[in-house]
Amino acid sequence: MLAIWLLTFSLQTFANRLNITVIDENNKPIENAVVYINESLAESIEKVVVIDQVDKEFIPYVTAIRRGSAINFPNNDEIRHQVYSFSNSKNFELPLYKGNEFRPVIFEKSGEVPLACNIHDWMKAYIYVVDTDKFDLTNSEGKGELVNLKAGQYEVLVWHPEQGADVSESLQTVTLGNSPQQLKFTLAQTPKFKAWRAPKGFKRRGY
Amino acid sequence: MNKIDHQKSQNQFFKKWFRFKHFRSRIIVFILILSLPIQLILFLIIQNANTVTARDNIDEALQVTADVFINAIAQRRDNLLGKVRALSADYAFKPAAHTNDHKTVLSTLLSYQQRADADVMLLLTMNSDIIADTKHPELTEAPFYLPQLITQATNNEYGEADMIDFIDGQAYLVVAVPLFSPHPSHWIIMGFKLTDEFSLSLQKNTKSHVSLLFNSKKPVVTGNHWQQLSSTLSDAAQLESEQALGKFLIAFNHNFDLVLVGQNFVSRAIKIEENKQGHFVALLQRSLEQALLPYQQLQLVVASVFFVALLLLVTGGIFIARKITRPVTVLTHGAKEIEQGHYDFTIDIDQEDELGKLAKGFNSMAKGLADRAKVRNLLGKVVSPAIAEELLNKGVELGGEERQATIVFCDIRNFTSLCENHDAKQILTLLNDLLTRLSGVIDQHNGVIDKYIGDAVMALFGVPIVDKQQAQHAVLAAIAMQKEVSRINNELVYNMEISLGIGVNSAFVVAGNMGSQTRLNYSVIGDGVNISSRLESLTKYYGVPILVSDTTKQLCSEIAFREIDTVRVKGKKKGLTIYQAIAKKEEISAIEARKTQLFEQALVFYKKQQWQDALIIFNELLTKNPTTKYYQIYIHRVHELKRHKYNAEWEPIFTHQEK
Repeated sequence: MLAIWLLTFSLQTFANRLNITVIDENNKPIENAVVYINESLAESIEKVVVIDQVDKEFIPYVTAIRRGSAINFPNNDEIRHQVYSFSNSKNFELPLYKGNEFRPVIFEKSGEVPLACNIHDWMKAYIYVVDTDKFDLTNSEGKGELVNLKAGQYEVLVWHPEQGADVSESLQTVTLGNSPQQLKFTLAQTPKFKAWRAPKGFKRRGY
Repeated sequence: MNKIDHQKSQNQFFKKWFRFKHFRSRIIVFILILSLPIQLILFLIIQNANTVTARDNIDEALQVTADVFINAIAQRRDNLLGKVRALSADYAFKPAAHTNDHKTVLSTLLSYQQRADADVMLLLTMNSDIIADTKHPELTEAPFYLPQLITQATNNEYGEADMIDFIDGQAYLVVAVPLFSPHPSHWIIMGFKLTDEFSLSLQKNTKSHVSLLFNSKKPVVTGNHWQQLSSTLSDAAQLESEQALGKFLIAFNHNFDLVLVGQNFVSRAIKIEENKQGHFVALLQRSLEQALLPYQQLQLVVASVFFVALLLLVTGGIFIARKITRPVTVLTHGAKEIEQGHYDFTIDIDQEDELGKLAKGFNSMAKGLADRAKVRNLLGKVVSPAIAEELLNKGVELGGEERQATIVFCDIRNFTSLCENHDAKQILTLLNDLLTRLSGVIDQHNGVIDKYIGDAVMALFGVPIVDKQQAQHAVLAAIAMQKEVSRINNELVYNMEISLGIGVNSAFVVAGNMGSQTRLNYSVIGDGVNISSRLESLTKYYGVPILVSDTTKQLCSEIAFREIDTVRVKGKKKGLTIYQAIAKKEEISAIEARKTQLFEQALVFYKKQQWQDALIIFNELLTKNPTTKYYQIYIHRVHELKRHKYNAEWEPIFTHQEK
């Protein structure tokens, strides 16, 4: 992440950028929202991204990649994990494994890919595949930025896992000149059901 | 007025119902009136306490049942949720669900439904559209028919919901759980039919009847608002329960009585769940009769004690009453004996109490009465019964009072010569017999014997008991006495001829007890007594059986008299006219009447000193009745008087020389 940030920072002197804030209806910042330019670039493997499995959790929770990229799923736990997704973008399964048994998985289709482990219900992660190289994830303050933008008109979209409406409804058009611009997204969140987590502080209800 | 009438009728009521013929009944009724209410109150208190305790027990038990029931429902929901939750996490299910293919999903659901032993299972999209429904296999792409379940789940932090509701008219416990894959992608719905088994399993744990009912806001098919869903009651009781509940407003979580098929059930209703159509109610019931069963034994014992006590009381009452009434009966019998004059009757009651004292007193009283009767008897023999009565009533006191009395003197003529010719014993027998019979005659005519003076009898009439016809009674007694003597003579028992001379006089005399303080005699004194005695002695002279004074004659309207003479009584200037008593006027014969008429005519001549005229009649009378002594006396007297010249101052009063 630091590498990406350093890269974008170094580029900002050469081109313009968009500073984006994503908040919910209660004016609270939304973390882990994917902000990106609505365009259709050809797929390309830019790099292999890693989604780690540590202490029965996927890390990070949300990962945004350019279509065609590959993700490696190393298992750093003592126990075996399984990785699956029934998403339309990528329906796949990595049967129970340890360490780094499998080759990275390539994501050829844009869209959301919820991930889970079939033996740990709470283990959950999201991959969001985009058709652009200009995308970012909001931080804990709900802020993200799109850099290296030449002057012109852009369509900007936001996606995050608990988004209530279709992603297209978030679309905002912005005309960028020579100076950086601010862009603000307010998103409705659907209630997020808790999945039952067994080992940590699990108490049976009602018995 | 009404008040008085009311009181009267009340008194009559008490008199009618509380007038006892036997003391025993009174005591028993008294005991019963005292003890019955107390016993009855005790019995009722115990019965009430039993019922209260039984109700308390039921109350407690129903509270426990209610707790168990609520717990059981929660447990059941958790169980069901657990099952569906497990299913939603089943990795094998997820790919099947994600096919979103109606037939594949339906098939999967049927398999899982069987595995979970559920009655219905559905898979919905997150938008509540049915993908497949095991109860309606053809149904797909239609909105879910229990939208409120999804609404409830959406508002839950885990996305879970459970509720009781109807599917095709049958009650189900349904749950909804999201399918995480890992994002919530579908709703899984599972339902369990609420059958009698559900109630039975609860009854097994709580020993109470458990019914599940739906109280609809709109009347259901039968017109009733209540519908039985499951119950441990009999079908008949269920039907009655539905109808009974419809009739009154139920207070939830409070006990109320419900009579079903003749049994009283203490019932408690608990609201389980409410929806737009109405609410689901659990009805928990326990039979009051069954709860009272252990107390019936106690009640039986109490009732037995009650009856035994009653029996003892009545027996005791009878015993006590008998103890009291037996002496009373003996005393009553004794009083009757005394009343009949059996004074020697004594009562034997061996008791130290009041009744024993009463018996002793009674015996003393009887002895006193016996003594008194003895005295009275003796007195009656010594003195005349009337005098005896007077003495007993007025007391024996010296002194007297002036009273009109008629005194009768009776004497046996020639008693001295009679005595000379017969032995004393014979005379005494005769005398006793004669005096007894004469006394009887005197008694019959209301006279009393004053005294016997040798062969003479002095009798009183008009004293001590006032008698307005005393003179007539006395004269009639004299006539009867003469007849009695003729009868004795005719009986020829004594071989001697007895004749009586009787003198009767009425006068004011002093009557009373006379004599000394220690020895006294009820008698009369006065001139009249002497005159009576004098008249008796004159009977012999004139040869007539009965002589009465003018005073007596005036008082006897029913008796025929014949004037005999006018005599001078000692100390009196006026002469005393004396009469022979002949008979009752109605009984007088024509000859006797003629004789009286003639004699009295002669007396008129005699008083006028027409001696010749008088003599003619006297002689005529004597010729016809040669034995009549006073004819001879007058003939003799007229011959004497004829010798003297007519004397205007002559009084026709004869002075007897003898005493």
